[in-house]
Amino acid sequence: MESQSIHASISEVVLDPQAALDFVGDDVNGAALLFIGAVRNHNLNRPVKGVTYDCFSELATTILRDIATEAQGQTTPNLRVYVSHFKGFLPIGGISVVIATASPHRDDAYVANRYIIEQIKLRLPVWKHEHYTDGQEVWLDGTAVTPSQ
Amino acid sequence: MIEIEVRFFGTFRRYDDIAPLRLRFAAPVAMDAVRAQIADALMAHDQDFDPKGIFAVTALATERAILPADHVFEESGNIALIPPVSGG
Repeated sequence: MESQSIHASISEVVLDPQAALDFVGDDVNGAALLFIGAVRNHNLNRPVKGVTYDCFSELATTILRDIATEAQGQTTPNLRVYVSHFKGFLPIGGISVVIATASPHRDDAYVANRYIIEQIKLRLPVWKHEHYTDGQEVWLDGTAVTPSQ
Repeated sequence: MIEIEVRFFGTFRRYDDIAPLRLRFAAPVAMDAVRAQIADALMAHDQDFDPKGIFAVTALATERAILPADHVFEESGNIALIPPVSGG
């Protein structure tokens, strides 16, 4: 889902941070910020070997776009946003989410980028199925969603 | 009568062997009635299913939006169970 200033997507192929930076680049913007979420090798004192991300892709794409639009509304119309979340299995170090924001001045890029990742944590219909080195696996606890969010 | 198909995600993937769950209702039907019938179907399939567990904090959604608690279903369609989310 893409407009002139927002790219929002769910991806089943490896996420590309450079593509995110390329999308938000614009001569009017003097600041660009890149957030990368990655799979870490531990969680709650358990060694992790990977995470499978389940996703309701149709709804998630809409919600990602809504979040990016809200970030624009809270900062500047010049804000450019690239946000993409991965769906599928990732090993340690795999990139689960990429958020690039760019704006004329740095504060808006920082504020928008932080807003987007925090809203993803609260609202995006994505679920982590964590795989441990001992062979066990578990769906992680999460945040209940409501229509008002 | 309307038919509502229910898809599963996250922890509810354990019920993929009965997905999509197809339920029939006399329209219009309120959210509470739909939730109750989903719970009944899952209990019939899984004796360990607890409607007061994670299902109690699970939302229902279409491909376009999370549905409010007072939503009324008037037409056939597809919905999904949305357990607490953990993306990022």
